[in-house]
Amino acid sequence: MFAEIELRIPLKSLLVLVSSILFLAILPKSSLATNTIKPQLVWQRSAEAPDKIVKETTIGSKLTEALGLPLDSSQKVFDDGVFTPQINKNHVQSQVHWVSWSQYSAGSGSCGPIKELRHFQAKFNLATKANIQNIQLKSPYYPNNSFPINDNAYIYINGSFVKRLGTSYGASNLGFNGTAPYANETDGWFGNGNLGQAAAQYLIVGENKLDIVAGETCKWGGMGKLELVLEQTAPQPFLDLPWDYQGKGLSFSDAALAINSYFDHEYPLLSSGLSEPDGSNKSIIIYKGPPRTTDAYSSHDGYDYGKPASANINDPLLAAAGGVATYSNSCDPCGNMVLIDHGNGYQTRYMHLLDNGLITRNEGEEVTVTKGQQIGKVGFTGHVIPPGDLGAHIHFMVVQDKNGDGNFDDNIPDGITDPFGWQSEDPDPWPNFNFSYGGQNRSGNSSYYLWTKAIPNLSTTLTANGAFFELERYKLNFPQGATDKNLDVQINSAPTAKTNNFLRSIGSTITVSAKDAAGNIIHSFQNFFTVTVNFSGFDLTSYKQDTISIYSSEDGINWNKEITIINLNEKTASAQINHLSHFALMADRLDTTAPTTEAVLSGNQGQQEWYGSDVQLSLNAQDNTGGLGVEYTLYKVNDEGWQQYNSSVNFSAEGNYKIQFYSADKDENIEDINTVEFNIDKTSPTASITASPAILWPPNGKMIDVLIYGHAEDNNGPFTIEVDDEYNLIEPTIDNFGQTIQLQVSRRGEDLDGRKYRIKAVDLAGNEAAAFAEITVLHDQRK
Amino acid sequence: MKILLPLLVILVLASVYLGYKQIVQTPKKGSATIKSITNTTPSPSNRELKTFQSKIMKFTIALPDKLSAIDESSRVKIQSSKGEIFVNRNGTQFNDLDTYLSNFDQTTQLDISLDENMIINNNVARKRISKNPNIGIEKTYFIYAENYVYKISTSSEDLYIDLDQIAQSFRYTP
Repeated sequence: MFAEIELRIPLKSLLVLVSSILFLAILPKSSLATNTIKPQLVWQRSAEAPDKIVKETTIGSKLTEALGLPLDSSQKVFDDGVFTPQINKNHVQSQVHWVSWSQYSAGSGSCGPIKELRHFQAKFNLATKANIQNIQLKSPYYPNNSFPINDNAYIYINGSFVKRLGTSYGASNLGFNGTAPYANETDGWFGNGNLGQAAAQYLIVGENKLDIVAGETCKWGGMGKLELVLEQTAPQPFLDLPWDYQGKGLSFSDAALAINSYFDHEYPLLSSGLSEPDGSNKSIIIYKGPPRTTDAYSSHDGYDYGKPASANINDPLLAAAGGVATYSNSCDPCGNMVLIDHGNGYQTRYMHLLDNGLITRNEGEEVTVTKGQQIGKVGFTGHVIPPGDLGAHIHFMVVQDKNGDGNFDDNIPDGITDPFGWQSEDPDPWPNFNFSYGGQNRSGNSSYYLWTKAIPNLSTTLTANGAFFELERYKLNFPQGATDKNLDVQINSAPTAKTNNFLRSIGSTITVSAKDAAGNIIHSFQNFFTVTVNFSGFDLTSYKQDTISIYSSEDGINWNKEITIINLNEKTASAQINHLSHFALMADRLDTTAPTTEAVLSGNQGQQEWYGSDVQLSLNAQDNTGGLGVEYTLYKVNDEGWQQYNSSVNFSAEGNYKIQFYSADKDENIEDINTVEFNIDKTSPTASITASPAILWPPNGKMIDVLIYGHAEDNNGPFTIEVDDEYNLIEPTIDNFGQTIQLQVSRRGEDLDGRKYRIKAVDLAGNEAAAFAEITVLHDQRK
Repeated sequence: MKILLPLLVILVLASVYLGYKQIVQTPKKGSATIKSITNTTPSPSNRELKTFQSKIMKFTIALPDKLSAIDESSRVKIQSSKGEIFVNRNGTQFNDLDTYLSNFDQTTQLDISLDENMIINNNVARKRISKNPNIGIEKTYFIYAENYVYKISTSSEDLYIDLDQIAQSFRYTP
């Protein structure tokens, strides 16, 4: 039975099933929107000696004095502490760092009125303070904003007071002695280390100082290891590629990734003339992250686009975004250069332009341009490889005004940024690169995805800036603000879906899952996103086309129809949806009725299913009125394999036959299995039959007893003993030999050879035995 | 015949000398000697292969079943327990592989120990083993197709055989 079911899976379904095998789209990582910066903190602390601490009776009054405590870089900070009671140390986990101290003035276990204040200081470098939306000072061992402190701390950034927190200011206790295993000397006390966005005003580009004055009320003071977390909001994407790639028939992805030379994240120093350090000067790291490669080319600080991107000599060069354009020819390798200040802290630069077609040739003149406006022509001025017109290309470069002074030149090279962002979980080498240039200590710049158009599957991360995912025929476009936190998105292809006999998916479906950083599964979004399904290439003749719609499902079983816009020219369906996780393009089926098949048997038929000759089987299939027509008919003989029926089938061998058959129409409506059975018996029975008396006389019309006896047999089953009356009037039934029957002794006058009764053996197929008995009612006793 | 025989001897001797000279020549930085030209077609393999296609980078390769490939849009990462093979792509203004590599060699100054010209599925290609101070020793196939240079490379010696298989199955699919 199981085999039967398997065999009856339609061929078309098998193909769909095979083509719909799930595969996991493993997609690269990225950080498109909110960026987390964790500056390296270099700590030192006030010396542990009675004369190197500040005593006071109320915490807060001598903070300035405490901040002036001499610092000693040789004192350990967050390195298993300085002094700790063994009982707490026994409970702390290995590789956990803290700092602890004891009050000199308090007795063991007592909580005296005298407070002792200690000073801790961390220095860190910051490449930019732009777009910082939040600052946290927190434990690396705990989630959220946990600041492990016993008892109190006052926090300063670059000398400005930011926050106080601890047991006197709303700290929570999460448990003593091992129940808060990473806290140790804080004895389970945690303050809220969220310093807020306002604290960002005290940050400066370059070296920063973080000061903490900590005080202990009783005997043991302590502070868990801290890290500084700066959350930076990514700038809004605003750029498009600066040539008419669409007019050349290229998609954004095709054009954007047709790169001649990449931005080298290790390190883009080309415009500064600085040399890269050994170890990075003969390789590059592209925006996808390590490993290093020998792609073109080391130190490159922008993107080169040329022939592969259809950016050819003399083609119009377009503004990547609106802004104020200026012209420069002061950089020999750059050739003719147009610079556009976009008014958002970013400037784009376009190099090697032809002499003709420039939007201005007057250095210092400012021309307002709109996005897509021609600002020059693709050319080969300056230094290009190969030299001359063969080397014509666009060098496209983005600079951020990191110090916010309105001048971009003073942020070369430290403001140079990659418009593709940094799409790797590894740290970006460029913003972490510290160097000296123009008499200043500088750091490289963070990069963000700045293109307004998305590249499919560039990332699995969905951020507040949105993202674009594409899998086979499905596109998911999450606009800006669809989510306010980073989500990891996985998209899988799934088999076709069929909710009932009437509604079915057009091709395969997809499942989409999203998780936040804590692993929580996200089911819905605060704003709608767009699901677009392409159905070009699909034969829709089996669907009611006015019912095509996108459906969604939470479980893949129960599907809900979404409001869908159908574009029949582009063969796409789109819907605005704000939830996950199964999506399908579905439509009602035109034909939901299976065809019917009739079996016709031809041959010399005996009784019922018995044939005494060859049998011809014809299977006549017909689809319902308005149906799509019969696709195929299958049959099998005596439980052998299914065969496709093409024309009538002849059966000649004697035996019993069971024929099973069914038909399917062109939309996979399958008929139930029908069965027809028949037997072929071409062999006559053998018999020896005697009747007594064999002569009946006188023909007086009376009924007379006649004994029938003898023997008969048939090789293929039962047979009957029949009486064949010449006049077809008296033909009694004979059940077996030895039976007496009554025959009428009469004849017609003109029947000169007498009335003949014939006793014969006949099998079910109608085959008669050669031998028979004959009983005659004589016409004339003399004859 | 008397004239032809000395000519034949001279030709044989010249051939032997040129062959010897080619063998003893030491590859130099950035200008390795090309030792041979090979016409390569996908070799039959008794290993199970699967086809991988990068639509954005416009190529297909045949991958041994044990390897998995990730299309990272601007590069393809092929992973195994022994290491990684990368397929990178650079556009170029150069109209042939030789001049591209000539310029490439001038800028990278790599130590090249193997340099072999090839044709892979009708695309001009170059197989190299080179040493980069930042990367180490790499075996690399450069394949030129319509102003693109595809670079298929690995730093893992254990993957050289797989690299050969993959690179020689490369097909440009514009």
